[in-house]
Amino acid sequence: MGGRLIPLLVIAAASCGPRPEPAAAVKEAPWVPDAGAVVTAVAPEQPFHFDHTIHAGKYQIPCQTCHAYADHSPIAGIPTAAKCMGCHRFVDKQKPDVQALEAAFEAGDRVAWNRVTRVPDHVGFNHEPHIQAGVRCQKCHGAVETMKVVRMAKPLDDMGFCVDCHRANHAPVDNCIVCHK
Amino acid sequence: MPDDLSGLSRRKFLTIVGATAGAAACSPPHGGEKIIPLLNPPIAGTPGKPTFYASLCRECPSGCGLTVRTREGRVVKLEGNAEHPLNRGALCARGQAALQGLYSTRRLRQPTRRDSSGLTRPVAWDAAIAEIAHAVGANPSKVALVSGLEPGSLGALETAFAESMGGDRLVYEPFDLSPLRQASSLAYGLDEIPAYRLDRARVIVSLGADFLEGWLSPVEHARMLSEARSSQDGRAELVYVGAHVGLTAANADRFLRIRAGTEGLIALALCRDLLARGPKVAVPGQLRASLADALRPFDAGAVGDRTGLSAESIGRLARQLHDAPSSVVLPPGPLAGGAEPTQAAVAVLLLNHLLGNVGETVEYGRDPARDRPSALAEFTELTERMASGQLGVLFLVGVDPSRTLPEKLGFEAALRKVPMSVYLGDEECPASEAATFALPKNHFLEDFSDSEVRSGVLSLGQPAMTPLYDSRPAGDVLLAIAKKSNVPAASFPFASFEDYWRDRAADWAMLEAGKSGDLVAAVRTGQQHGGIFVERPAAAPSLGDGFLQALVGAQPEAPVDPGLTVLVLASDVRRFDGRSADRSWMQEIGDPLTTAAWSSPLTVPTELAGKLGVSTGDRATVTVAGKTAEFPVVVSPLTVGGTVALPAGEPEVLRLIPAASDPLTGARVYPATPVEIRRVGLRALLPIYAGSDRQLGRELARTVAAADRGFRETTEKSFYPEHPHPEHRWAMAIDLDRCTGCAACVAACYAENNLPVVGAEQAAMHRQMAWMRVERFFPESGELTSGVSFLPMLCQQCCDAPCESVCPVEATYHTDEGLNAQVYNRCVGTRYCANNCPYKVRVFNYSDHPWPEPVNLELNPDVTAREKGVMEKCTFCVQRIRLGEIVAREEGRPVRDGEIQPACAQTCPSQAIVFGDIRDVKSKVRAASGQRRAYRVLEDLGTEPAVSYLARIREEEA
Repeated sequence: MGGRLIPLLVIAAASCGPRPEPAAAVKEAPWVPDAGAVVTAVAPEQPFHFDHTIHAGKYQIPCQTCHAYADHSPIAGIPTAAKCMGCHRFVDKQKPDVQALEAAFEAGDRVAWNRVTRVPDHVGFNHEPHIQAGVRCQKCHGAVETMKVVRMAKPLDDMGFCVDCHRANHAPVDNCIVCHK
Repeated sequence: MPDDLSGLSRRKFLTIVGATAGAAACSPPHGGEKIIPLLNPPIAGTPGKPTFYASLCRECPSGCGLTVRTREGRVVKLEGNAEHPLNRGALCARGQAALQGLYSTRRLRQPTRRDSSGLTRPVAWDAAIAEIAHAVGANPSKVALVSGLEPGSLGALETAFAESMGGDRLVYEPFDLSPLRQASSLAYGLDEIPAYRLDRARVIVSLGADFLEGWLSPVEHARMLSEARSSQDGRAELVYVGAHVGLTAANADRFLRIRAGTEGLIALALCRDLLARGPKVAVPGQLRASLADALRPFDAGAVGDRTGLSAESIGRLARQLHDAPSSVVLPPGPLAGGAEPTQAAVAVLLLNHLLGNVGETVEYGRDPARDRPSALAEFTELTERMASGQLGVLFLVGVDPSRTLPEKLGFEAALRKVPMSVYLGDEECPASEAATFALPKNHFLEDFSDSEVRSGVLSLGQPAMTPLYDSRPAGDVLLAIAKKSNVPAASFPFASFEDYWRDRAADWAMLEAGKSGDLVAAVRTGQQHGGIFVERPAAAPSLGDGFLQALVGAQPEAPVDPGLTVLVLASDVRRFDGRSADRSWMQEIGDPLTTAAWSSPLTVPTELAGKLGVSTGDRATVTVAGKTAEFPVVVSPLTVGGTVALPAGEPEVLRLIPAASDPLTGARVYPATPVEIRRVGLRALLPIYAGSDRQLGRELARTVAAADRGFRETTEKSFYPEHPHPEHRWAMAIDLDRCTGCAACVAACYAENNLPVVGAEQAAMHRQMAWMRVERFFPESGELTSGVSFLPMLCQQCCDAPCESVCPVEATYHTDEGLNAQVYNRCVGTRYCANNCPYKVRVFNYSDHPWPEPVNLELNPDVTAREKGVMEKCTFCVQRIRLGEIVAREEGRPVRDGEIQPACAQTCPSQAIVFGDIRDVKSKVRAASGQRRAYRVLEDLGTEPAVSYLARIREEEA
């Protein structure tokens, strides 16, 4: 964490002016983790082959169609199997993965996804104000629509990542308990 | 609260959500974590946000309404239901701790059977039910069922079940209030316990009624007392007459000490005086003459000799009652120490009658008497039947009488002799170990329930989460056994207890509440609001002459030898009759008066302690009627002379007291008994929180002589620049005239903020983690006649906080909303802040605290669970403030005054805590803080606290 923060502070001190907004190019480019940060740049294996490049990429289904709570709850939510079956009752029924999903749904088995994104326990992250403020999902989750298997693409366990964006957007930075619980 | 839930789909929903919750809530740190989404989307609530269910508290027979807060399908916090007519949003400490019963590690998890060799093994539900049903069928008329007081569907079902088997249902309630009902029956022919309207009285005289601890309806009484004390018509005065200073006595404006158990005599002396002075209601001449006859032996002098209260004091009390515009006298409770409570209750009722209180402050037509405790003799007989093999099948539903029945009765040993005994309950206990079958029933938060303790008030409880274990509703188990038993009388036309419950509620809605049309919808609306509530007119009873028989022949007993050491029982606000003794919050929060935690100390007065050679922390043996038990000693001014006290919330104590019952009702009584006390040469592990019993002139908990008196304004300038509070400044005002020291706030804080429990050893080192405590101070000198002070102490959220400036890592700072924030992940644990805090409200995690399964489920996901090496403290429940702000923002409006409440203010039974934004000129907190009697603790330090206290009003002795 320190390794990343110090150069930024040096730049800030050197420029002696308002901090420039982080380069726009960083937004969508894959983020290369620092040595200290714990980022699952490697995507965890998942029980089902769910491909975001098809859903969010090719068909451009909006994120909140499936992650339905993001705009009104602290958590975005992982879609229920019923939600999946809402489409897959009709779409791509022949695909083995879809058939496996249907079988699990009919049997009442729930899919145990491996968690990709997590902020530490002492952080009270709330999706709602971020979405309401117009922050794009990709800002923190990366270009999920380009990921065949989702990985944590941004250092969400690194406070600097949050603070940079908060600074740039005049969101609170000097009131710890807004985010920390 | 969701409205459109049919039972089945909702249940299914809870099943699904409940399981997810486990996975989501107790996540291990980074890596390997699963996210298991629901199969179907939830019908009610949004994951990540709280969902509330109205329900019913079953921790004691009072029947307060609950609002159950759930997150992701699990219960995380209990609060009082604001719509409920009894508790109106408040909840006592024991109600808060009901959550710990739900997530107890001692919950029964699956049905088990004990075989003849004494080994216990799991058994399938169907097999258990079949075997029990067979035993029931084979033992006609040799069946008995014991349960607690259940004034609702479950009680009715239990009675019907037992009767259909040709057996009896016995109701076990250690603190039996039947004498009050019997007294009304004798005096007015009304089989009711009256409702005491303390809020309407200007003088409240409690003759040994511990109405703040557990007598009748403590939460309701606390509110009424608070209302009476802050009434526009003048402040009400509370006089307590008794042998021991308990919580109610400590809150009295005047405490009159008498010998234990002589309250009835005081009432008779007062009656006599009042009859001579002129009663406030017309008493027919003949009745008056016979009354005068009956009361002749009870002149103030004679009664004074026997009670230890001077004739002048009795006369003064009679005059005060006579002169008061309105008054109420409360009859002695089961722990007052009297041997004949019905007689005492009749005397008090007569007194209330002569004062014109009946129909005014003593209301009839309020008690539907849906369930009644059984007499002690019935349990003696039952035990004999059990021991002699005359009983074939015994059901214990949710109660274990062996925990509190006198040990000499031998209930536990007799239980082992019953061929088929079934314990159907939540948690492990001696009975669950001794019984043939131990069957887990749903906790009340996982089940339907109802209770009708007040006419016109049907409280409805509903499951707020899926059962954690393989448990079933108690009613379902009984119905299944009845169905399987082939006993013809036991064919109930209900598929499940829920059906029965709905059916009864619908009946009630039609017959009692006069609803017509769609009754199913009426019940559903009731479910949503926590019950169906209708206004009932009070009954206007007329005095019969039955009570004379109860009084005639009554003679003042010979005075007890003052040289004897006498044991009385102290009502226990934390543990009641021991049923909350296993809740670790209730053990860790100290007793309000002795401030002792994790123990049940014997209170010994100073002088007697000198004679016995014991001091605080010694161990001593107490011998009562040949039985001996060992307790730690606390030397304290709570009792005087030869009186010692033990807390009634300790099951061991109730087992020690020999069996005795009221001659008129058969209710168990706990008369003051001579005891022998001997010092054991050992020290006890006795955590006592109070650093000093007295304030030593520091004026922390202040008093004023009248409501309009106040303190000198301090105008000292601050050295520090003023903090800007651009939007809000959260502040609190605590009215010490309302606070009763009941510690409900402390328990609520434990529940809301994931406070860990450290246990006796750590507590003895003052390492308890409470963010809020209630300080107790005795008066500076003299005997305890009044003047016990309580001071709820929590972080004062200082503007110029001494803790902030010494933190080397800026883990604590002043927010722009006026909070003194603590950032746990930033704290490195130097403890400088705690050392620099003048209020001692910062607590340090000396160790990591385990949250074993299933206790981890009670954690509030909005608050982090702190770890070793971190300092923590009250934040005015910042997570609740944040939630309130988000809700207001979503609705596009400013935060309303009173909308945001910290857990302590929310639960306070006496509404002593006001919270709000002091920048809002119309806020209640601003008005309260601006009162003349407002002050701030240690104000001269210049810390500028956000918490104001309103001084207790204590009228000077006339």
